[in-house]
Amino acid sequence: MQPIRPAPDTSHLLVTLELSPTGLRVLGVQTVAQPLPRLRVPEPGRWHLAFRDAANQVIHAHDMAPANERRSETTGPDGRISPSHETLDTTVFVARLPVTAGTLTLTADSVAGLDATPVELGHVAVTP
Amino acid sequence: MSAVGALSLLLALGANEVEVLRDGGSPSNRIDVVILGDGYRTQDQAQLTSDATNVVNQLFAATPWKEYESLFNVSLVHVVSNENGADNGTYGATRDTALGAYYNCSGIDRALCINYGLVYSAANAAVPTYDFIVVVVNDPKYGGTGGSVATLSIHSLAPEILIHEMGHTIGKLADEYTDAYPAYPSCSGDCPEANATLNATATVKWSKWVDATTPVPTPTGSGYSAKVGVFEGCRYKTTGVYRPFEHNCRMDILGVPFCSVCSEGQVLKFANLVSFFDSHTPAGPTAVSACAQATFSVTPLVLDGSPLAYAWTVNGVAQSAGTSLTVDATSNLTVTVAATHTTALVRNDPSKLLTDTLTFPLVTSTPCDGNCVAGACVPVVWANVANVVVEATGPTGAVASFAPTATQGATALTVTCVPASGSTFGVSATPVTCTAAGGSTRTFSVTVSDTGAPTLTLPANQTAEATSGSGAAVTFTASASDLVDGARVVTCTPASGATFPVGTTTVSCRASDTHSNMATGSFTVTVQDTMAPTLMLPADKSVDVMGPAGVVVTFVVSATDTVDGSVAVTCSKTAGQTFAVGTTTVTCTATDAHSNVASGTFKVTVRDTTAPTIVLPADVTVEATSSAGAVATFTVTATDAAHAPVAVTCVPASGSTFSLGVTHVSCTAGTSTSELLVTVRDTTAPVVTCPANVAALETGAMTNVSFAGAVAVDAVTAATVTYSPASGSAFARGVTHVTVTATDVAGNSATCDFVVDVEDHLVTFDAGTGAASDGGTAIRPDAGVVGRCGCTESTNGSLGLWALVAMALVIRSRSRAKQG
Repeated sequence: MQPIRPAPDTSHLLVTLELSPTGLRVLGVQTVAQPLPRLRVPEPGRWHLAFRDAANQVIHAHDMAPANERRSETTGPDGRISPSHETLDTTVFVARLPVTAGTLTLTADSVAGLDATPVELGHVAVTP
Repeated sequence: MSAVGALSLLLALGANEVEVLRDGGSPSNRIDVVILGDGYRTQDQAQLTSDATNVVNQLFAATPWKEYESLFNVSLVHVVSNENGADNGTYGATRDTALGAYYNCSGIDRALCINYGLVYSAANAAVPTYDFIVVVVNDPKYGGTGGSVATLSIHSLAPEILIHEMGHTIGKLADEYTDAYPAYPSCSGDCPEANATLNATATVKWSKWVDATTPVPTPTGSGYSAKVGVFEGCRYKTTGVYRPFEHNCRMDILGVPFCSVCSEGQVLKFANLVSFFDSHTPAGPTAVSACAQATFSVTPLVLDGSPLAYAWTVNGVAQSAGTSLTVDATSNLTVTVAATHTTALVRNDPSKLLTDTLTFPLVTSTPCDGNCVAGACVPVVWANVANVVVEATGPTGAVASFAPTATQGATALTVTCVPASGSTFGVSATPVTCTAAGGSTRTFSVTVSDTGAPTLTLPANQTAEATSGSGAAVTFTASASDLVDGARVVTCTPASGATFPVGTTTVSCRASDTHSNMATGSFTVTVQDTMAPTLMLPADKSVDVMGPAGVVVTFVVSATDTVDGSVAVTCSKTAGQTFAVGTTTVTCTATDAHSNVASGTFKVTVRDTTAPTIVLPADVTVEATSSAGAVATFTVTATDAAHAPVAVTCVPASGSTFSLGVTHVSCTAGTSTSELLVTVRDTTAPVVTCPANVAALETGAMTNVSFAGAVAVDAVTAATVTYSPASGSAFARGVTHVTVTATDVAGNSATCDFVVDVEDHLVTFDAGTGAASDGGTAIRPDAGVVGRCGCTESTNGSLGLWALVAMALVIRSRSRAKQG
């Protein structure tokens, strides 16, 4: 049974981020007039976002698929998929966060497996 | 659409305007997909609408997207480019497009990439509520990519790329092909994707889709291509990772449907992205006055075209209702509604994503301690409402009974309690809410306690044999069972498997249950040393004697004990002692510190293997003393290496009478035999005694004279006597010597002689004086020549006894002997 649902947020932050070899960078922050999307059951992903407030308390966290992976999967000559995978040095992705100032930290699982100790890819300050 | 139509559309929409292609509902409770066009000039915008619609139609023609289309909003952003196409595409190497689409991305000709920054910028500006972004590129060349943004060209096969990529992006599905993806993380525990697993057993996570007749793991090429199985090879690996379909799923091959496992996985992801309630009333905690009516309602989501099933409860009591429920606010209430979706596409829902539950707290400002009747509070009198405490009787707790009653005025009200009396309550305090007809409630608790300690089962006192000086490792099994918790861990000190010293050790054990009840117990482990040391004795040995006393024999003995290590050994004979000839049994013993005695023996045999040496005298020669021979004596001795007296036996023995001749005497000492010759000989001549001299008167020229025989005696044999001349022979006048010869069998001979004196007259012999005379002439006895008389001679050749004869003769004796 779910807990009592909080009064729905009226808006959330849409933060556009760039991950590059130099770290994480905020490209843009905008407020979206819609409650912060939530999954009913958290799903695991190899990237982990943690959003901490000024007191360093995690006020929002979720996992996501690595945004620096790009797949080229087209039909091969025999009808089978002809795949190619690429890990981007620099990529752009978005995160949806509560409307508050804080610090967003991105960590990633190592390639050793999902239960490996995540490594930090970067962190940025987010201001509404 | 004509050019005029397209322009009209653009004018209607404006650059970067948003066109809704699917309107499922409020973006706050829908899955929002935004499609951006790139390579579409102003005049191409109508084409964009057509292309995007085609893509969306194809997407929602695929199961399970088809069934859940109502969950999606699809918006199309009319991004206007200066040129059509994409770099390296149909229209040239360099194209000026709004989102920077280009083929040959990272050297892959069909990889169609875009500028993520531009894409997000456009999407954020136009449809900031999006969940997923798709970019349709206006280029006929086949291509596309997947990732945080999906791209596809307008090639007829390109939508298949999108559908596959959506399987990744929304459905979180794995690629089922096995082409290598270096450095891609391996599955840990099990793969997170619905369609990949490390578990190739009957418990595989999609087991509900696997027929009982399908083997697991499932062989390929064996007639299972149309069935769900567990096929090896998935997620970029050829071994160790398994997929549900042989080769006919869209996550493996483009252009075929999703397999049932992949469809199920996507349905559950869809469900996880939305609430099953589009809205509900009240929106949050609600306060009402006592006995006021409160109505709760939900606006359900439409899933797969089938209605949801609702289950309402008020304070845990099930209520019969549809999308709304009205209750009397007798007190603070908790109202819940659970909406459940049922679909044939899902057989396994471990996270219960197909059920969504809402809770409505209702706070009553002045609770009515009774029933609400026509909006007024009528008191209800309760009885038998008290907390109940019972002891647990099993893992599930205990059955508790209670019987609260409620009356309203004189009317007894039906009371329904949740949980009901007679239910089994877990080990804890469980609130029980009893509701009387009309709604009055009472709450009390049923506490099932667990005060019983586990039952400890310990082994009996144990005895073990020491295996070393440290003692022995002893294992044992101790168990504990608790009425509530079942089997419990038992902790023993020392632990099973520990090395216990020699002696008796008390093992203390304890077990506790989850409610801090502890049982303790103990038993003893006695490690004893009953094993005798191990004696190491030499094998029986044989040695040759070295002297009269025997021989000095050395040997080594030792003993070891598992507990004490080396142990002293005592033997009946010590090494270096002299062992006599023969077999000596040496008995050895060793005693360890715990009085365990080991004993053993070995034999030492001192051999005398040299035959005695027989010492013989020189061959013995003796003179026969009789016809039987003679007694011969000799001494024979024997010695051997041990210089011990050795008896010698000779046959015939010394002192025996040996017959004439050579006798072989055989002497034996031990195994030695030697021979001695004893010779008995006869070398003694007979003794012959001549007859007396004979005087005879001449009777003629020759006178025949006879004389008496001589006497011959031999100790051994008879003797033969011969005369020369023989008796009766004719003798001339004068003295004639007659030689008598006696010869024994051995040839020994002896002689004597006498004379025959033939005379013409006789000589007078005075016997008294010994004087003889022949007519007055004296005759000397030693004249050598006897004149006219004979005489006898002694047998020993000496002038001995004179035999008196009746005749007066001058006797001259002569002794002669001759050996034969």
